[in-house]
Amino acid sequence: MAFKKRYTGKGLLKAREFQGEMLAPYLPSPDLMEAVNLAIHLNRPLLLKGEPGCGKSYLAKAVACELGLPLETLYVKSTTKAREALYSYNHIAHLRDAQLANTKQLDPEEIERREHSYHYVQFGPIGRAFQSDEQCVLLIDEIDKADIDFPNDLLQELELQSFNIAELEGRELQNDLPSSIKANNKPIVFITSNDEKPLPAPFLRRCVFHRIEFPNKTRLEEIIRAHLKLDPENESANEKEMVTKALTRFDKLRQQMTDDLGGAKKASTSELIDWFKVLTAHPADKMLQQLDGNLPFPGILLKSAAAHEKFLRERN
Amino acid sequence: MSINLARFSRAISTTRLRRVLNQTRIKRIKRIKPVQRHTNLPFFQLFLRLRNSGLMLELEDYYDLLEAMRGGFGVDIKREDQEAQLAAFRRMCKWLWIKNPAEDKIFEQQFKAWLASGESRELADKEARELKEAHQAKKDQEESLEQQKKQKQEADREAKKPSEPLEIPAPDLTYKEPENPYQPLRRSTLLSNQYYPLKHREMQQSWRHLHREERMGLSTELDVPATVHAFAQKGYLEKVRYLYHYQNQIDLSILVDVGGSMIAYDALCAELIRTAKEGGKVRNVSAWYFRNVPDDKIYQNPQRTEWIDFQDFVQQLDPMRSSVLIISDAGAARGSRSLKRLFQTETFLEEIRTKTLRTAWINPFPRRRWKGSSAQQVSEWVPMFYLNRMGLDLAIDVLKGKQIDQ
Repeated sequence: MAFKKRYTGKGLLKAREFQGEMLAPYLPSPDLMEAVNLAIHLNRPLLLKGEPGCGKSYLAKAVACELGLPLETLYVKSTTKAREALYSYNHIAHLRDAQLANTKQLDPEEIERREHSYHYVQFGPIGRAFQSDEQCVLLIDEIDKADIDFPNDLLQELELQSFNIAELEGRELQNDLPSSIKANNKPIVFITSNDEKPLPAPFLRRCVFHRIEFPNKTRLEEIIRAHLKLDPENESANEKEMVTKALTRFDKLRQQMTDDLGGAKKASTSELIDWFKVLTAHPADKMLQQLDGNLPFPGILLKSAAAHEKFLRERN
Repeated sequence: MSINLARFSRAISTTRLRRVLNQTRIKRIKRIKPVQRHTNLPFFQLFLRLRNSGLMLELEDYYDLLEAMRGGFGVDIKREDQEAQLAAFRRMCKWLWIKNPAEDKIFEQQFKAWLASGESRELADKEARELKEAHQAKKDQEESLEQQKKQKQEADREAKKPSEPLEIPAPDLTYKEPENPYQPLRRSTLLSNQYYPLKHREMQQSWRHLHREERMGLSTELDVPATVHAFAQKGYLEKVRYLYHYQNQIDLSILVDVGGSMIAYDALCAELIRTAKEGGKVRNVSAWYFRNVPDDKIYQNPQRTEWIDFQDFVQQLDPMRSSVLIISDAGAARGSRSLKRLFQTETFLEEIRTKTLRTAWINPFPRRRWKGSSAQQVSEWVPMFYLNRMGLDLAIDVLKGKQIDQ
């Protein structure tokens, strides 16, 4: 058994730069870490679901950052086709070169060379992940946005970790380049879904599935402190009080949202972080006062007319 | 009996496992209580239970569980009590085998039943500790090996030797034979939809076939590969090819008979409508309700409190797009042949068929029950099918426009 990487969640306790991007701290729950390790161990994609803003997509970055692996991301759109995720063939450039060769403006040998290499092939995120010399973290973000055929079309490629470049098949390639790409190192695959559309059963079967739950109050506090770079030891009494108070207020609001608004969107972790950023940007004593009265900066937490009406009018 | 997980998962052949699975499957069809076979496989009874209660599990899924346990998952190494171990194991099973809330319910139910059945006692305190120790030992070994490996790598980096396979001691799992192998499953009946003639998933799959795609409007998107291909064939650019968008052109109206003899099929009909709305590719699905035969009114809800005139309903059908599916027993439940009912049925079918011929009838009663009742007569006027997977597929063919000789 080859060595398998292990995710401990300790790599991103503080903000860190990764692949030219500043990553915010990420504190996964023990359950989530175990699910990640299980997926890595079994070499299966980890399918993540959960409320919007609970950190589904961020997990892949956190894992890549901690394990020091390159990250490839496929942002799925409603028009995304499975093949684009693997590669695309630049027909136009090929045609242009053929025309140029016809009119002797391009060396025939040159077009020969281009035709027998990957010159016209542009690899998509999955193609790049398969070709990478070291193991990659591959994030397929919001897979439910595409057509229901999309996940099914990718099944084979993710399972076998290889695909063919149809346009190059039958051509003898230079330097023994293969026309079918096989993964050098099996990538660690994360797939996120917002449950907009049901996913096909054969696809689900091949995944490890984890639902990210909303963090409990203690962890929420840890997350907030990590994000705001607050140190519990040397912060003022006012700041401390504000964190506790704002969290209590948020907790109550979320509870009310669950009770009253049913299936409507609830305020999430990412919104809470934004709210705290605004709160801490203002003088603490002023904010403390405000927290007792009307919900300060409601636009960050409440995202529907019904919610605004309900939770703002109640205080008045 | 103590068994070594790593050893047996290599030793037990796939063919043997398949045989065991097949045997239990046959038993299930014959409606014989699944006999607990002495397979000596850890957690295999749990796997079978879940599989038999409708989860889509295959052998590979069972292998995954073993592989995961070999990797030290499903054990809480920080705690010693049995509850924590069980929770960790349960969590792992869920990650591997459960993909949606509906399956989650089945899992919880079956897991409880499995706990009660006694097989789970292999996770008792002592074994759990053994597992933990084995896991700890593995971890220590892994760490030391990792160091060794690093040193080795540094020593001969250029040699590029393939890393040696690791010998990881597998956790010992003790399997106890269940005390009473014939203990019935503890589960409340009628709560599961496993008794339906076709499953939720099958309905979804069938509905996906209901599509008739038509080219929509003008396209501005260039079909590059097709254009280049045509160019290459002719040697000059004759014309540019465009990508066309296709859209499903079917509007489906489902007319459901409610009340009386159809009460037993309420949930099934609701499920059928739900799957058509959710999973299908149909542009527009609408459900309408009636009792026995639609008269001058047709209802918009199953409680039959809101209605529109039947004529208005017929008016809004579009000859090019609309398909109509009727779900009713057509008198097959009572086996009666009422002339009045037949006459009314004929009238309403005639009216619908002036608008669209893509009309099918689904009868929840099997074909042999139609004989002698008004259903037999109706099935001569309109394609009528028994509600199972095949029947639904055939009905969908008719809704797509296929002509079927009854």
